[in-house]
Amino acid sequence: MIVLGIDASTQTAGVAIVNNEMLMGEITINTTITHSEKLMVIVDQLFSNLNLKLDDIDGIAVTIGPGSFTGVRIGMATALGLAKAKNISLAGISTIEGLAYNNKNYRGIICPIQDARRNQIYTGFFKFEGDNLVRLSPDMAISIAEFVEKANTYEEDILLAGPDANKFIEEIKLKCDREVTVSPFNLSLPRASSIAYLSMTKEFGKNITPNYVRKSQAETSYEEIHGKSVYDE
Amino acid sequence: MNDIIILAIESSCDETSVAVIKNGREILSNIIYSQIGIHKKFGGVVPEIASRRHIDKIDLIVEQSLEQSKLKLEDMDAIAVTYGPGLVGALLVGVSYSKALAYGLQKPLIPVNHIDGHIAANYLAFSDLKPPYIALIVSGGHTHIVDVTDYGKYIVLGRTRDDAVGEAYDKVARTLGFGYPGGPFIDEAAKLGNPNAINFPRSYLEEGSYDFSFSGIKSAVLNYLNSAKMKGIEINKNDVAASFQEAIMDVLINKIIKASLEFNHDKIIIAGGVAANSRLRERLKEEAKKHHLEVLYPPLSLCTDNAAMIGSAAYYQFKNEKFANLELNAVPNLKL
Repeated sequence: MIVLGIDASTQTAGVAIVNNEMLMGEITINTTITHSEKLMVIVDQLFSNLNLKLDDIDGIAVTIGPGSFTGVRIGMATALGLAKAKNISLAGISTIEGLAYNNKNYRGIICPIQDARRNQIYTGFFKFEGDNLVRLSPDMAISIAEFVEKANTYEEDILLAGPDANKFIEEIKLKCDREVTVSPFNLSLPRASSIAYLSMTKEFGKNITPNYVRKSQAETSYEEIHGKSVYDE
Repeated sequence: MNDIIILAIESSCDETSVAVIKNGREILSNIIYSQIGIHKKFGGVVPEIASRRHIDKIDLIVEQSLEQSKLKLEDMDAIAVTYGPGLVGALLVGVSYSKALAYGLQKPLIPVNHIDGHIAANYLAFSDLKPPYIALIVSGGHTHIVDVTDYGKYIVLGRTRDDAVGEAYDKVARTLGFGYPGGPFIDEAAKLGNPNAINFPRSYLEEGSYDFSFSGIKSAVLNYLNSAKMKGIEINKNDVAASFQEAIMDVLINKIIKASLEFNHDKIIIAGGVAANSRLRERLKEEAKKHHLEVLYPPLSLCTDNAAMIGSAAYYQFKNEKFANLELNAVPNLKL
């Protein structure tokens, strides 16, 4: 199965083409140029470098968040448009799970960390059992204090993964009562190849749904004022 | 000549719309998913919620539009998309989707200015309409007087310096306790009120200018309501609505008629959501008649945001090969 992996959910934009276990090619760009301007350009570059066409692709895997709301949508809209053109199946993959997957050799609890601003992080708890990445919690937006509380319920050592792990390591180390390390720098960025590999263990279909984890501020304030969801009648 | 079929996508504000248009004039399908029900609860469009809705709906609306057109993606000659002006997050959904779709189909991608689309809505409504003519574009986001010299070729004669006319309607409607969007509510209330009850200011700006300013009248209405409240005077909302609307209409109509005469046009077209306003239609017709000018406005369904108008504008760009590359970005403040 040949899978095109796409990620634009953080500052990094990446595309990869994976043929079963073999990575055929991958482009990762980590700049502040908008994803809108660069994502399709690197998709095109990868195809032409590999001398492949969209027709050769059996499935498209894309990150569905959490991350930058706009970035998530650029990646997803791109995946949806490509899939529609050639009637290709889609798989939506958690950005957090993708970051955990980067650290395949680690034998403890893996917690990817993304700065979610407003004193929260996007995170989740994962663990490899053999080659399988096992999810121990849903993706969450929580404070460092809440994170530490949850982390302390596990027995094993903890690996902080992801681009923002370094930002929070000192604070977490101080409060955690076990060994906490940060994943190597070369594994800390989101990788489209990880997204493509992960998708091989997931169901492909026609629909993908974003998982922002966090509501928009307008929805939250509406609920505070009215005591009900804006989507309720 | 072969028929040119374009699939057009519009997501600049709170409508997700996809249309299939033949030769710029014939609507094979035009599906509009409006989010207005949600935004009403906030009294205006919430950008993040709008963007979230677009990504949830876009694929489905493309599917429905193709179904209605009875055509397949392979039958399309090009993909068109609104790339501005509008809400950046909302635009990016349509732009990203369209770029990928066009790339996958190996068809050209046509980047369309949303205001250009509003003007082109008239080509769908009037099969004989050809430039040149003068256009008044009035909506929640735009207020322009434009000399349309050819398809897609414009000389902007005037634009608002502050609020768009629809924006002024929304703000006044909110203060009067009406719903959102304000236009239809004020239009209805005004029918029951006296347009001469209150003399709100008319801002014509400098002599000879075709620009607009609506922030003054908006403040005048707010001041009037506040001072009436302080003095304990009961206000007649219908009179306020009618007087506000009349002041707006005086300025719009004065300027568009003047522009038609100065630039020797015999046709005026109105475009944008406010083109649905009954008082604008009635009064402009009356005034135009006096000067032997013809007034055209599209049906209601083509006044508000829709992808059909984008597909029409795109057709004329297709003929001139005005295509976009893979770096196309959303331009929230795109000018005409």
